[in-house]
Amino acid sequence: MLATSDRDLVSRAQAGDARAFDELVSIHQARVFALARRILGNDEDAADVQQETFIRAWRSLNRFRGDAGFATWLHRITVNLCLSRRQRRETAVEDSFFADSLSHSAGPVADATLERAELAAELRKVMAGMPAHFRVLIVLREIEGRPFGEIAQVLGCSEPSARTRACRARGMLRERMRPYLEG
Amino acid sequence: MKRECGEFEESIWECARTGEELAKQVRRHVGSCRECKRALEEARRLSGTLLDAGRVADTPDCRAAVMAAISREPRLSIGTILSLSKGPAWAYACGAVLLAAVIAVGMMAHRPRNTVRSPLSVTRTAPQTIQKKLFHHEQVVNAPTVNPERKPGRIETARVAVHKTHRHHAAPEHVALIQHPTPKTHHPSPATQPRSPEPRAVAAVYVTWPEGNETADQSYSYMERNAETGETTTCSVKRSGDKVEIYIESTPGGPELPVKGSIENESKINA
Repeated sequence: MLATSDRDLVSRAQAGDARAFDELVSIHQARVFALARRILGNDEDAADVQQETFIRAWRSLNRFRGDAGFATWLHRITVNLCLSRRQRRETAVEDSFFADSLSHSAGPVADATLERAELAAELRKVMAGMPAHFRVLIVLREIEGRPFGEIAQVLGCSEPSARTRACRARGMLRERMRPYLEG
Repeated sequence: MKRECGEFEESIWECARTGEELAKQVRRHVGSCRECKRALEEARRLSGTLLDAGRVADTPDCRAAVMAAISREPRLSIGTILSLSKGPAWAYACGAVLLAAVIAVGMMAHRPRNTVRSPLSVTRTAPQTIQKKLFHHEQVVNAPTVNPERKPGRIETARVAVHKTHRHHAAPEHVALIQHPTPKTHHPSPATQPRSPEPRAVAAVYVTWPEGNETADQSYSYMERNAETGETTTCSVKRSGDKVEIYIESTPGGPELPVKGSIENESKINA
């Protein structure tokens, strides 16, 4: 369902009001970037996808019917762009995926923090090696906590299919991380 | 016990991610199942790390770049067109309605009979075209294998997993060469399998996805019946990740009554 604020802005943007679209970009750009960043693992690619998402959205705005939320529709474009980009590159995601969150401590590093950092480093490698669509599921479900109905809309599949794939993605993640979790 | 574990897997991860208490039933199971207890511990550790790592600090402001890009693109809405015109708005509205009606009538008149409602569109083409397309696209096709679900009384089916060839953002498509093993004898027996069938190209299936839906997993199937020969062909298309699986199966003869789906020459069936 379309939020009231989005509904009005989308209608105006569909009528050609660029300022309304600018407002939509302002509202949704943070989430779009975050999603792209979590899937691709680096700021540069995420920023490219962020821009491309909105450009594509502008071009396809007349096709948006409001069956799903505007954000969901945008995120679907984002996910598809991310997957295309990863497939084109066919290289591992860069190492900066986890660099920002665990490198802020200035003083002596506590054992617990070090352990988290090491686990994060291994998680980074495992995630980079996972199939792209599994990685997307981990991001959408386990990081962003989206309900399966929304995930299904973003991925363009049925809800049961989204649940099944998420289960497989988690299973793969657990299995590959097991040696590091047991240590 | 394994079935139960599968039922609780999602709840375990949900609990690990949100930090909420497990439901009573789940808690009872986890208390007695070593595997699920381990799963919960692992899920908690992984969720914590994932949530930490998934934090995004700074978001770039892309508005200026986006607005600059879209300002270079032509975009005319009905409102813009009407405001640019000098005549009365009602005249243009009537013209638009009339034009839409003419287009709708034209589309109805030329609607293909055997259209299958599906998010994907499939066309078939002649083997000569396949050769030309192959030269340009350098596609890779796995060797056909026999469909393990082959039903008795049917001739061999072919299953081919194809890889992407090229993509257009406007019209993404996969080209699949279907190689259908055929027996060496002139009149093949449906019940027997040839010893060394020579594959021959029978069709190229072009599968397209709507823009914005390029990577969605979709599946559909259709059937065709040749009214002159009675041959029935079923085709199913299933996409999963990067791979597209296409089954084509032809049955000589076929049922007397029309099958559900597309029929080539309905008047001959009903005559």
